[in-house]
Amino acid sequence: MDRVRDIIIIGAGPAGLSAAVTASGYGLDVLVLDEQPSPGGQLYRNIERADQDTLKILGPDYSKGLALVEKFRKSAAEYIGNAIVWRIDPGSNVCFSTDSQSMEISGKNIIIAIGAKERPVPFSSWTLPGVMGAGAVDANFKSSGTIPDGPVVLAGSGPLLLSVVGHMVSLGVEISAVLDTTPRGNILSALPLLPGALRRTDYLLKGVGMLLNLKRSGINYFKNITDYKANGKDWLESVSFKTKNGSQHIDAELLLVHEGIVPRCDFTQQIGLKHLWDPVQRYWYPETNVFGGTGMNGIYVAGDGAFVHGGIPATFKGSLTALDIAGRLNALSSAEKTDDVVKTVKKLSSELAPRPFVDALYKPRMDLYNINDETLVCRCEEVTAGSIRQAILEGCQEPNEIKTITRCGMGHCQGRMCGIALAEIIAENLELDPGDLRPLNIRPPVRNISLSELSRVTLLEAATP
Amino acid sequence: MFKHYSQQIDKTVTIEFEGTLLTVPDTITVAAAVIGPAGQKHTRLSPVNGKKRAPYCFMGVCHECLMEIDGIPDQQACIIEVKEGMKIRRQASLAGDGE
Repeated sequence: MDRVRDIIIIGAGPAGLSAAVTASGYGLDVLVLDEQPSPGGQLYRNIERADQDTLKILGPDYSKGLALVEKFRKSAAEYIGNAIVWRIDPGSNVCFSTDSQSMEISGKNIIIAIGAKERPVPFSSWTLPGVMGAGAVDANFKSSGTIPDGPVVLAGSGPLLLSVVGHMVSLGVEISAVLDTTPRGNILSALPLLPGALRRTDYLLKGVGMLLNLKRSGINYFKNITDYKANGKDWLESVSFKTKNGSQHIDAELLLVHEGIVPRCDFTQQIGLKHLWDPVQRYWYPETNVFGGTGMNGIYVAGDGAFVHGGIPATFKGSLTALDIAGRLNALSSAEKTDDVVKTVKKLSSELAPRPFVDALYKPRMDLYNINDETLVCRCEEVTAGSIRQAILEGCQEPNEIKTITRCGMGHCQGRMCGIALAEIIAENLELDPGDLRPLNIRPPVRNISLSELSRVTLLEAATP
Repeated sequence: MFKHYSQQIDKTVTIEFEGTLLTVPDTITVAAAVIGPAGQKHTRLSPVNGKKRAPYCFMGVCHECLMEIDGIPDQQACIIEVKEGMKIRRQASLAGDGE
């Protein structure tokens, strides 16, 4: 364990697995650390144990992962599951925990491939038990074989919402309503981008298919809805929302929300990489080059964690990162590298062809963070939008200042759930662009490690600062 | 909130949730077991105001699923699989404060 690896990869999803397969194919010494018990990431979660029924229900988007995980298992890359990485440092050391024991290891290169998450958007009573991200349904079905015990209401916008609805229909879950918040105008701004997307009619047909299936299934499908809220005392009892015909109210056991996908920046922010704000998708992402290389020597970001493009593009992004590292370590000639890079970039760009159209179609709505004062923004420390606005009134201008004053972002999740919302609220109040603000700090340990475990970890010699 | 999809379960383990024994599939996560076969709606109480909370993201991000597992508090129950004899408790407050 104490040898210095050529590459330490964090995350065994599409990008991490593909990087591992490519790099170990060139003879590099690769270690993959992942928090799940088996490789696959969110998209291909638990795929090695999936039975035929599961593969059929989740379809080719899921079953495609079988070949990738198999290639990874056959590769020379070493894999440690149930490994919680809690610190990376620019000297390319990594601290991680397994079975409540932590250790620090060293790599010449680190690939951060921790993917993306559903964008957390605060709304009234979103902390009630029974309110979840839509992705939670897929995660539970894949990992645990459990499904919602309806009735279920789904709300929000984006391809993943439709995909989850499709899975639930196949699983026989009772769905009371789908509340689509996609603004009517999006289709108009997306249309000019349609010709580019026609390079991949397979993707477009898949999307049309999902919409047709939703209509055919007879589910109550409300379009252009606004102001959805959760209601209940100790847990969710009902969901209310507005349509152009007025307010409506539906009883529900579960409310599943989805407002798009954003990169997970836990490590890229902890290590201090430069982040940029995407004004269209409204999220921070680490600044990287085409290989996922960053401003820090030996630190790479691959897959959706660098920018959200989806699972298949993530595999190509992972390969590109591995090719760059293999080239730098002289594991392949520059001619070979150029050849492989050209091929991979070509495949990646074909996958990305429909992206501008899809991104415009599901562009986050303007009123996404139109949050009333009583709503909790920080779930961990229970900080309301009202207290954040009060702090702004009193002169605070930066997310980290407001964190100090209000405790917003100071809890267990370290701002993973409230960080973007906090910046959006500040930006709106001060008439700034969220990109003008510095994201919330996240400090090691970035995961929950007990003090007794910390006291037992043997650290490597400190790297030059 | 959740239920088993398939009635046919190959291997099971016995776990203890708040003193009650439960037989669950050996591949289920702790959080899925609690809001599934254990029939619970919440997994912790907010340390700030005592309100009931349950997992939100089920992928290790939101930290809403923190539970005490085998005596260790603040465990992310959504990414940990059950094990034979595992003892699971809700946390009522910040780690170490007890109930």
